[in-house]
Amino acid sequence: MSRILAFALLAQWAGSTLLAASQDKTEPPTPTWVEGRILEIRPTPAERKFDTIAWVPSIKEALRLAKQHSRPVMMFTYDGQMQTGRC
Amino acid sequence: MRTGPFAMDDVIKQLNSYYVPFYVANEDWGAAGKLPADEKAEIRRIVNEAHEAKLNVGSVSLYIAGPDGKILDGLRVPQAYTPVQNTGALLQKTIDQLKAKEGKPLVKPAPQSVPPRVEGDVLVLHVVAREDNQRESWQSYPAENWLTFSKAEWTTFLPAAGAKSYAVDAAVAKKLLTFFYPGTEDTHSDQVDRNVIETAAIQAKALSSSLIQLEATLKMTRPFYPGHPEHKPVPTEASAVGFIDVQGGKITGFKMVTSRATFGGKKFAVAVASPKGERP
Repeated sequence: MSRILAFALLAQWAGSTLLAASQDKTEPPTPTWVEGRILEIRPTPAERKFDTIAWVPSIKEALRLAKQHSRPVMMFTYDGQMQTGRC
Repeated sequence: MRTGPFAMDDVIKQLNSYYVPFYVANEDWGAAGKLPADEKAEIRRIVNEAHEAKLNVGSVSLYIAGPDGKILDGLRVPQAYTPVQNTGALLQKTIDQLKAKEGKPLVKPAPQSVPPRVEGDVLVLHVVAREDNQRESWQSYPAENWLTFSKAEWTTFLPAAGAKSYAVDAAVAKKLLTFFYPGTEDTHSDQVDRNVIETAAIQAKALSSSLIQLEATLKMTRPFYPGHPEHKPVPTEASAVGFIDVQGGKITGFKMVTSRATFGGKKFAVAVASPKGERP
Protein backbone atom coordinates (compact mmCIF):
# COMPACT_ATOMS: atom_id res chain seq x y z
CA MET A 1 0.00 0.00 0.00
CA SER A 2 2.80 2.33 0.99
CA ARG A 3 4.61 1.47 -2.30
CA ILE A 4 1.48 2.39 -4.28
CA LEU A 5 1.18 5.68 -2.37
CA ALA A 6 4.86 6.48 -2.97
CA PHE A 7 4.45 5.79 -6.70
CA ALA A 8 1.35 7.98 -6.86
CA LEU A 9 3.13 10.85 -5.11
CA LEU A 10 6.14 10.46 -7.44
CA ALA A 11 3.88 10.50 -10.50
CA GLN A 12 2.05 13.57 -9.18
CA TRP A 13 5.37 15.37 -8.56
CA ALA A 14 6.67 14.48 -12.02
CA GLY A 15 3.45 15.61 -13.65
CA SER A 16 3.35 18.92 -11.84
CA THR A 17 7.02 19.57 -12.64
CA LEU A 18 6.44 18.90 -16.33
CA LEU A 19 3.34 21.15 -16.33
CA ALA A 20 5.26 23.96 -14.63
CA ALA A 21 8.07 23.62 -17.16
CA SER A 22 5.67 23.79 -20.12
CA GLN A 23 3.90 26.84 -18.62
CA ASP A 24 7.19 28.63 -18.07
CA LYS A 25 8.42 27.82 -21.56
CA THR A 26 6.84 30.75 -23.38
CA GLU A 27 7.84 31.70 -26.87
CA PRO A 28 10.04 34.81 -27.01
CA PRO A 29 8.08 37.78 -28.36
CA THR A 30 8.53 38.50 -32.05
CA PRO A 31 7.94 41.74 -33.98
CA THR A 32 4.87 40.11 -35.58
CA TRP A 33 3.41 39.25 -32.16
CA VAL A 34 4.01 42.80 -30.93
CA GLU A 35 2.33 44.24 -34.04
CA GLY A 36 -0.67 41.97 -33.47
CA ARG A 37 -1.03 43.11 -29.86
CA ILE A 38 -0.79 46.76 -30.93
CA LEU A 39 -3.77 46.24 -33.26
CA GLU A 40 -5.74 44.68 -30.38
CA ILE A 41 -5.01 47.58 -28.03
CA ARG A 42 -5.57 50.53 -30.39
CA PRO A 43 -9.03 52.20 -30.45
CA THR A 44 -11.56 50.46 -32.68
CA PRO A 45 -13.69 52.32 -35.26
CA ALA A 46 -16.65 52.02 -32.85
CA GLU A 47 -14.57 53.73 -30.17
CA ARG A 48 -13.74 56.49 -32.66
CA LYS A 49 -17.32 57.18 -33.81
CA PHE A 50 -16.86 60.65 -32.38
CA ASP A 51 -14.56 61.26 -35.38
CA THR A 52 -17.54 61.05 -37.75
CA ILE A 53 -18.88 64.36 -36.42
CA ALA A 54 -17.95 67.35 -38.59
CA TRP A 55 -16.17 69.23 -35.79
CA VAL A 56 -15.10 72.75 -36.68
CA PRO A 57 -11.69 73.52 -35.18
CA SER A 58 -12.30 77.09 -33.91
CA ILE A 59 -15.22 79.06 -32.47
CA LYS A 60 -14.63 81.98 -34.84
CA GLU A 61 -14.88 79.63 -37.81
CA ALA A 62 -17.94 77.96 -36.24
CA LEU A 63 -19.67 81.33 -35.83
CA ARG A 64 -18.76 82.34 -39.38
CA LEU A 65 -20.21 79.11 -40.80
CA ALA A 66 -23.30 79.45 -38.59
CA LYS A 67 -24.03 82.90 -39.98
CA GLN A 68 -23.28 81.88 -43.57
CA HIS A 69 -25.46 78.74 -43.47
CA SER A 70 -28.12 79.88 -40.97
CA ARG A 71 -27.28 77.06 -38.59
CA PRO A 72 -27.03 76.99 -34.80
CA VAL A 73 -23.69 76.29 -33.10
CA MET A 74 -23.28 73.48 -30.57
CA MET A 75 -20.29 74.24 -28.34
CA PHE A 76 -19.11 71.62 -25.82
CA THR A 77 -16.74 72.66 -23.02
CA TYR A 78 -15.00 70.02 -20.88
CA ASP A 79 -11.93 69.29 -18.76
CA GLY A 80 -8.93 67.37 -20.12
CA GLN A 81 -8.42 66.10 -23.67
CA MET A 82 -11.58 64.41 -24.98
CA GLN A 83 -10.07 63.47 -28.34
CA THR A 84 -7.34 61.37 -26.71
CA GLY A 85 -9.39 60.06 -23.82
CA ARG A 86 -7.17 61.74 -21.25
CA CYS A 87 -10.05 63.54 -19.56
CA MET B 1 -19.95 62.20 -23.85
CA ARG B 2 -17.56 60.72 -26.44
CA THR B 3 -18.96 57.21 -26.25
CA GLY B 4 -22.39 58.39 -25.06
CA PRO B 5 -24.34 61.02 -27.00
CA PHE B 6 -21.45 61.81 -29.39
CA ALA B 7 -21.42 58.17 -30.53
CA MET B 8 -25.18 57.96 -31.09
CA ASP B 9 -26.28 57.87 -34.73
CA ASP B 10 -29.21 60.25 -34.11
CA VAL B 11 -27.02 62.86 -32.38
CA ILE B 12 -24.29 62.58 -35.02
CA LYS B 13 -26.91 63.13 -37.73
CA GLN B 14 -28.37 66.15 -35.92
CA LEU B 15 -24.93 67.70 -35.46
CA ASN B 16 -23.76 67.03 -39.01
CA SER B 17 -27.01 67.97 -40.76
CA TYR B 18 -28.30 70.94 -38.74
CA TYR B 19 -25.49 72.34 -36.58
CA VAL B 20 -21.97 73.71 -36.55
CA PRO B 21 -20.35 71.51 -33.88
CA PHE B 22 -17.34 72.70 -31.89
CA TYR B 23 -15.62 71.46 -28.71
CA VAL B 24 -13.00 73.10 -26.53
CA ALA B 25 -11.02 72.14 -23.44
CA ASN B 26 -11.58 74.55 -20.55
CA GLU B 27 -7.84 74.68 -20.04
CA ASP B 28 -7.38 76.12 -23.53
CA TRP B 29 -9.69 79.12 -23.17
CA GLY B 30 -8.79 79.95 -19.57
CA ALA B 31 -6.55 82.90 -18.71
CA ALA B 32 -3.35 80.89 -19.35
CA GLY B 33 -4.88 78.89 -22.20
CA LYS B 34 -3.21 78.40 -25.55
CA LEU B 35 -6.01 79.81 -27.73
CA PRO B 36 -5.71 83.27 -29.31
CA ALA B 37 -7.31 86.11 -27.36
CA ASP B 38 -10.14 86.62 -29.88
CA GLU B 39 -11.09 82.91 -29.70
CA LYS B 40 -11.12 83.03 -25.91
CA ALA B 41 -13.27 86.17 -25.98
CA GLU B 42 -15.96 84.55 -28.17
CA ILE B 43 -16.09 81.40 -26.02
CA ARG B 44 -16.24 83.50 -22.86
CA ARG B 45 -19.05 85.60 -24.35
CA ILE B 46 -21.18 82.52 -25.10
CA VAL B 47 -20.55 81.05 -21.65
CA ASN B 48 -21.32 84.37 -19.93
CA GLU B 49 -24.52 84.83 -21.92
CA ALA B 50 -25.63 81.36 -20.83
CA HIS B 51 -24.98 82.17 -17.18
CA GLU B 52 -26.75 85.54 -17.49
CA ALA B 53 -29.74 83.71 -19.01
CA LYS B 54 -29.60 81.37 -15.99
CA LEU B 55 -29.35 78.29 -18.17
CA ASN B 56 -28.41 74.96 -16.59
CA VAL B 57 -24.70 75.16 -17.50
CA GLY B 58 -21.36 74.73 -15.74
CA SER B 59 -17.75 74.03 -16.65
CA VAL B 60 -18.59 70.83 -18.56
CA SER B 61 -21.60 71.71 -20.67
CA LEU B 62 -23.29 71.96 -24.02
CA TYR B 63 -24.05 75.48 -25.26
CA ILE B 64 -26.39 76.19 -28.15
CA ALA B 65 -25.97 79.51 -29.97
CA GLY B 66 -28.13 80.72 -32.85
CA PRO B 67 -26.90 81.60 -36.36
CA ASP B 68 -26.32 85.13 -34.99
CA GLY B 69 -24.04 83.74 -32.27
CA LYS B 70 -26.39 84.61 -29.40
CA ILE B 71 -27.00 81.99 -26.73
CA LEU B 72 -30.23 80.01 -27.08
CA ASP B 73 -29.93 77.02 -24.78
CA GLY B 74 -27.55 74.90 -22.75
CA LEU B 75 -27.24 71.82 -20.60
CA ARG B 76 -24.58 70.66 -18.19
CA VAL B 77 -23.01 67.22 -17.93
CA PRO B 78 -24.06 64.76 -16.52
CA GLN B 79 -27.66 65.86 -17.29
CA ALA B 80 -26.71 65.84 -20.99
CA TYR B 81 -26.39 62.05 -20.87
CA THR B 82 -28.61 61.12 -17.96
CA PRO B 83 -30.57 59.77 -19.68
CA VAL B 84 -28.49 59.62 -22.84
CA GLN B 85 -31.43 60.89 -24.95
CA ASN B 86 -31.19 64.34 -23.31
CA THR B 87 -28.56 65.60 -25.76
CA GLY B 88 -30.66 64.63 -28.75
CA ALA B 89 -33.70 66.31 -27.19
CA LEU B 90 -31.71 69.49 -26.55
CA LEU B 91 -30.47 69.59 -30.16
CA GLN B 92 -33.93 68.85 -31.57
CA LYS B 93 -35.52 71.64 -29.53
CA THR B 94 -33.42 74.29 -31.30
CA ILE B 95 -33.83 72.60 -34.70
CA ASP B 96 -37.61 72.87 -34.24
CA GLN B 97 -37.51 76.42 -32.85
CA LEU B 98 -35.40 77.71 -35.72
CA LYS B 99 -37.08 75.49 -38.33
CA ALA B 100 -33.50 74.66 -39.33
CA LYS B 101 -33.03 73.07 -42.73
CA GLU B 102 -31.22 69.79 -43.16
CA GLY B 103 -27.93 70.00 -45.02
CA LYS B 104 -24.57 68.38 -45.54
CA PRO B 105 -21.75 68.56 -42.98
CA LEU B 106 -20.00 71.93 -43.33
CA VAL B 107 -16.52 70.45 -42.93
CA LYS B 108 -15.21 66.99 -43.71
CA PRO B 109 -15.23 64.81 -40.57
CA ALA B 110 -11.67 63.89 -39.63
CA PRO B 111 -9.79 61.91 -36.97
CA GLN B 112 -9.55 64.04 -33.83
CA SER B 113 -6.58 62.27 -32.21
CA VAL B 114 -3.70 62.96 -34.58
CA PRO B 115 0.07 63.21 -34.36
CA PRO B 116 1.47 66.66 -33.53
CA ARG B 117 3.01 68.75 -36.29
CA VAL B 118 6.75 68.45 -36.00
CA GLU B 119 9.69 69.91 -37.84
CA GLY B 120 13.12 68.41 -38.17
CA ASP B 121 14.42 65.07 -37.04
CA VAL B 122 11.78 64.18 -34.46
CA LEU B 123 10.51 60.73 -33.48
CA VAL B 124 6.74 60.68 -32.91
CA LEU B 125 5.25 57.83 -30.87
CA HIS B 126 1.59 57.00 -30.28
CA VAL B 127 0.85 55.56 -26.83
CA VAL B 128 -2.48 53.78 -26.28
CA ALA B 129 -3.60 52.42 -22.90
CA ARG B 130 -6.56 50.02 -22.77
CA GLU B 131 -7.98 48.47 -19.64
CA ASP B 132 -8.63 44.75 -19.70
CA ASN B 133 -12.33 45.29 -19.15
CA GLN B 134 -12.91 48.58 -20.96
CA ARG B 135 -16.67 48.42 -20.39
CA GLU B 136 -16.21 48.38 -16.64
CA SER B 137 -13.45 50.95 -16.50
CA TRP B 138 -13.47 54.70 -15.94
CA GLN B 139 -13.71 55.27 -19.68
CA SER B 140 -15.29 52.99 -22.24
CA TYR B 141 -12.48 53.61 -24.71
CA PRO B 142 -8.66 53.59 -24.60
CA ALA B 143 -6.63 56.62 -23.56
CA GLU B 144 -4.00 58.00 -25.94
CA ASN B 145 -0.93 60.22 -25.93
CA TRP B 146 1.27 61.49 -28.75
CA LEU B 147 4.89 61.88 -27.69
CA THR B 148 7.78 63.53 -29.50
CA PHE B 149 11.46 62.74 -29.03
CA SER B 150 14.18 65.06 -30.31
CA LYS B 151 17.16 63.60 -32.12
CA ALA B 152 19.24 63.89 -28.94
CA GLU B 153 16.57 61.77 -27.22
CA TRP B 154 15.72 59.15 -29.89
CA THR B 155 19.36 58.37 -30.62
CA THR B 156 19.63 56.94 -27.09
CA PHE B 157 17.37 54.08 -28.27
CA LEU B 158 20.23 53.11 -30.60
CA PRO B 159 23.47 51.37 -29.59
CA ALA B 160 26.81 53.11 -29.35
CA ALA B 161 29.30 51.75 -31.89
CA GLY B 162 29.93 48.07 -31.20
CA ALA B 163 27.50 47.83 -28.27
CA LYS B 164 25.19 44.80 -28.22
CA SER B 165 23.36 45.35 -24.92
CA TYR B 166 22.79 48.73 -23.34
CA ALA B 167 20.39 50.84 -21.32
CA VAL B 168 18.33 53.56 -23.00
CA ASP B 169 18.93 56.97 -21.42
CA ALA B 170 17.06 57.09 -18.09
CA ALA B 171 15.33 60.40 -18.83
CA VAL B 172 14.13 59.12 -22.22
CA ALA B 173 12.86 55.88 -20.68
CA LYS B 174 11.02 57.86 -18.03
CA LYS B 175 9.55 60.22 -20.63
CA LEU B 176 7.97 57.27 -22.45
CA LEU B 177 7.02 54.96 -19.58
CA THR B 178 5.39 57.62 -17.38
CA PHE B 179 2.46 57.51 -19.85
CA PHE B 180 1.89 53.81 -19.09
CA TYR B 181 -1.33 54.14 -17.09
CA PRO B 182 -5.00 53.58 -17.96
CA GLY B 183 -7.70 56.24 -18.20
CA THR B 184 -7.88 58.32 -15.03
CA GLU B 185 -9.40 61.71 -14.20
CA ASP B 186 -7.23 64.12 -16.19
CA THR B 187 -8.24 67.75 -16.22
CA HIS B 188 -5.19 69.38 -17.76
CA SER B 189 -2.48 68.70 -20.34
CA ASP B 190 0.40 67.93 -18.00
CA GLN B 191 -1.36 64.86 -16.70
CA VAL B 192 1.80 62.98 -15.69
CA ASP B 193 2.85 65.63 -13.18
CA ARG B 194 1.33 63.60 -10.36
CA ASN B 195 3.24 60.39 -11.16
CA VAL B 196 5.95 59.36 -8.70
CA ILE B 197 8.36 57.02 -10.47
CA GLU B 198 10.37 54.44 -8.60
CA THR B 199 11.70 52.56 -11.64
CA ALA B 200 11.49 53.42 -15.35
CA ALA B 201 14.09 51.60 -17.34
CA ILE B 202 14.50 50.28 -20.88
CA GLN B 203 17.15 47.71 -21.71
CA ALA B 204 18.05 47.28 -25.35
CA LYS B 205 19.72 44.52 -27.34
CA ALA B 206 20.96 44.90 -30.91
CA LEU B 207 19.70 41.74 -32.64
CA SER B 208 21.16 42.87 -35.97
CA SER B 209 22.23 46.09 -37.67
CA SER B 210 18.56 46.77 -38.49
CA LEU B 211 16.65 45.37 -35.50
CA ILE B 212 16.80 46.25 -31.80
CA GLN B 213 14.87 44.50 -29.06
CA LEU B 214 13.60 46.45 -26.04
CA GLU B 215 12.58 45.33 -22.56
CA ALA B 216 10.99 47.94 -20.33
CA THR B 217 10.17 47.99 -16.63
CA LEU B 218 8.01 50.53 -14.82
CA LYS B 219 7.10 50.94 -11.18
CA MET B 220 5.35 54.14 -10.13
CA THR B 221 2.43 55.52 -8.17
CA ARG B 222 -0.30 57.79 -9.46
CA PRO B 223 -3.42 59.13 -7.73
CA PHE B 224 -6.59 58.63 -9.77
CA TYR B 225 -7.81 62.23 -9.26
CA PRO B 226 -5.71 65.37 -9.60
CA GLY B 227 -5.83 67.83 -6.71
CA HIS B 228 -7.44 65.40 -4.28
CA PRO B 229 -4.88 64.66 -1.54
CA GLU B 230 -7.43 62.38 0.15
CA HIS B 231 -7.00 59.90 -2.71
CA LYS B 232 -4.00 57.67 -2.16
CA PRO B 233 -1.43 57.15 -4.93
CA VAL B 234 -2.23 53.98 -6.86
CA PRO B 235 0.63 51.49 -7.45
CA THR B 236 1.27 51.10 -11.17
CA GLU B 237 3.55 48.41 -12.57
CA ALA B 238 4.36 47.33 -16.10
CA SER B 239 6.72 45.18 -18.11
CA ALA B 240 6.93 45.69 -21.85
CA VAL B 241 8.69 44.29 -24.89
CA GLY B 242 9.37 46.01 -28.16
CA PHE B 243 11.34 46.26 -31.37
CA ILE B 244 12.93 49.11 -33.26
CA ASP B 245 13.62 49.00 -36.99
CA VAL B 246 16.75 50.90 -37.95
CA GLN B 247 17.97 52.03 -41.37
CA GLY B 248 20.94 54.27 -41.97
CA GLY B 249 21.16 55.27 -38.33
CA LYS B 250 17.51 56.33 -38.21
CA ILE B 251 14.52 54.75 -36.49
CA THR B 252 12.11 53.67 -39.23
CA GLY B 253 9.72 51.74 -37.01
CA PHE B 254 8.99 51.53 -33.29
CA LYS B 255 6.65 49.04 -31.65
CA MET B 256 6.22 48.10 -28.00
CA VAL B 257 3.49 46.43 -25.93
CA THR B 258 3.12 45.54 -22.29
CA SER B 259 3.38 41.88 -21.40
CA ARG B 260 2.02 42.66 -17.93
CA ALA B 261 0.58 45.87 -16.51
CA THR B 262 -1.50 46.67 -13.43
CA PHE B 263 -2.97 49.85 -11.96
CA GLY B 264 -4.00 49.20 -8.38
CA GLY B 265 -4.18 45.52 -9.22
CA LYS B 266 -6.45 46.08 -12.26
CA LYS B 267 -4.97 44.83 -15.50
CA PHE B 268 -4.40 47.10 -18.45
CA ALA B 269 -2.31 47.04 -21.62
CA VAL B 270 -0.26 49.65 -23.41
CA ALA B 271 0.80 49.81 -27.07
CA VAL B 272 3.43 52.18 -28.40
CA ALA B 273 3.95 52.62 -32.12
CA SER B 274 5.15 54.98 -34.79
CA PRO B 275 2.21 56.70 -36.56
CA LYS B 276 0.53 54.35 -39.06
CA GLY B 277 -0.81 56.68 -41.69
CA GLU B 278 -2.23 59.19 -39.20
CA ARG B 279 -1.49 62.76 -40.23
CA PRO B 280 -1.29 65.98 -38.17
